[in-house]
Amino acid sequence: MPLGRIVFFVAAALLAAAFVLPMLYAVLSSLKPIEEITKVPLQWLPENLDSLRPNNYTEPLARYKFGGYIANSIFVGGLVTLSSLIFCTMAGYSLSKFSYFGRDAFFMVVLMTLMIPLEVTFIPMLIIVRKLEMMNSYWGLIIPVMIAPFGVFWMRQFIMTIPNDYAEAARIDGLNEFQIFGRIIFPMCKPALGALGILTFMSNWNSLIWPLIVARNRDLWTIPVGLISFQSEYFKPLNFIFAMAVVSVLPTIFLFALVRRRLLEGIGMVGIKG
Amino acid sequence: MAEIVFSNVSKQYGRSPRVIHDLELKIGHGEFVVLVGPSGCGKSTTLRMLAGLETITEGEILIDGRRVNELHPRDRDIAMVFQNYALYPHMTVYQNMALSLKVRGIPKGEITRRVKYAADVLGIQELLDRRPAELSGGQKQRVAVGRAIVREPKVFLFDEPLSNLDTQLRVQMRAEIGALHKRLNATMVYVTHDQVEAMTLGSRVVVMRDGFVQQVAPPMELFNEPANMFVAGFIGSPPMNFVTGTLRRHPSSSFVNRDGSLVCNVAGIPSGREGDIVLGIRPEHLRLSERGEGSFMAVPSRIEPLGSELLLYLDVGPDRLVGRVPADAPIGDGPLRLTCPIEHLRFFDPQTERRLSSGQH
Repeated sequence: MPLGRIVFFVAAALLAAAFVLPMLYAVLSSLKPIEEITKVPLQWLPENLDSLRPNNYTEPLARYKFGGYIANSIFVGGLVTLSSLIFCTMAGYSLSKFSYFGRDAFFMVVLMTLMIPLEVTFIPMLIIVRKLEMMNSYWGLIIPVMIAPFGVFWMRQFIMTIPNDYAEAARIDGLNEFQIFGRIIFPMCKPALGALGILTFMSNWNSLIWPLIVARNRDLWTIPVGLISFQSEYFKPLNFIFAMAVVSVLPTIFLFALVRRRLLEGIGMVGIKG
Repeated sequence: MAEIVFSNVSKQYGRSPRVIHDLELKIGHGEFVVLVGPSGCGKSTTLRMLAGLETITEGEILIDGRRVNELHPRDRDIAMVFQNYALYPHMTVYQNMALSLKVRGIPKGEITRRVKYAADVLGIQELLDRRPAELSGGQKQRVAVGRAIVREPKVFLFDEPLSNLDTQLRVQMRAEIGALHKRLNATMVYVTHDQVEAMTLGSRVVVMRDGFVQQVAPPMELFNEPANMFVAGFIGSPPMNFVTGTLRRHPSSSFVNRDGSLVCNVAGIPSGREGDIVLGIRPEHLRLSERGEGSFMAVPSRIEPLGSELLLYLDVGPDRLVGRVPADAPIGDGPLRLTCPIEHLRFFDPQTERRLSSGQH
């Protein structure tokens, strides 16, 4: 085997280990009692089978309403993803295929907002959400993040690669502009939509600060907020945190496995690395 | 069938120079008109204005006497076949062909009947359940034509529909489109940069250059009676030879090139003009000659065998001519004696590049 390939495989294995080992540690720790987790030196495997604690999974679900947090995360993440797919594609279609006054200036603004960290926008967003009386509601969790500048940019780049002939053929076929978008352009965006969907869902799934600010009511909490709530000043139930962290990762892993090919295709077709 | 009229049509994008200048063209019922010209000549823009995909800056377009400038493409009763076919990739062939009928609210039974009829005409019945990605180039082309047929439009528009096909398939599809025109007897407007397609398909051909119509004529008239040097050079392969020289009336009416190495007798042509002129001779009209009178000597610099014919690249003094002769023509190593029948000589004005009619020589 040539030296270059050996170096490649070693580097790839190290990189894979860097991603897999923390996950493996979390899975193993999620089955241990808290005393074993905090033991020094660090211990990977449970001491014996009797010390396994499956109730690390069941107890938070029963005692801390964690099932509700999961449902909230799925509901909020799902709606944000769906709206993002629709509105970002509409915006991307408009920015890539129509000519109108201010189009390029608007796109520049979109690009500029990409460079502003989300945290910077939290205070103005909070003021708006309070004025609209959407605090402590699903609307407050969903509406401000329904369309993201990255999604608009992503869809614009993809739709630019679709030849104009399709929309023109549809126009001659008698479709109106909404039908062209809904029946022709949107279905043709599937590869990019798959990638954008999973990226949006994951980012929303992992989002902590915005739900923490908006959702005071426990019934609206999402998984990351729920995980934080386990900790108090004097007590940190690491066993529950690990177990629920594993539970919270499962849907995203499942989703990734489901659309992995489409995600990679999408990234390749948009021509930018996510 | 429909009659199309372009009346004084111009096109300009923003403040940039015009790309179509005062286009005047009338296309009759059931005619097959081909717009041909080099890239950027405005042929596709003309077609797109007719389709309603481009706005018209000035003038008007009439379809069956009705001004269509402001009409949406769907209301013009036209169908168009695109260069890259533009088949919707997420739909089956049937769905692709049926979509335009579906959005127009045509009953399902009628849609099925029309799709089946078009599929029969084009021999694509077995492809109806496939998606475009599962089709070859030729099959996609047929489906694109089928999508146009089901509409039963007044006018069919073709925008370089064969340019993505390989040579063999292009010849086959060319014949099929010609046969389709005969069968449907519909008005068709076809854009191509390929002069062979233009000559073989068109009942009339419109040659365009830089947004101006150069000539509108049946194919053989374009070949035999080109309006100017551009048409003469664009139609025919290899193109017409041009030799700059002078027309003399004394001692006899004749054309002489710049160094006198090529002298052609033009005595039979009525002559009203003397001085600088451009002579045009088609390669196929140059003939090997044994007689001295009216002939000239040429040195072959290269010979290209094409199977049934030879292409001769000939040096005649300062001029380079191309000749096309039968493969069995007696070509030696030395200079050749050539002649060109008077009736095949064409003369052009060196300033305007327009062909001079017989009365102007």
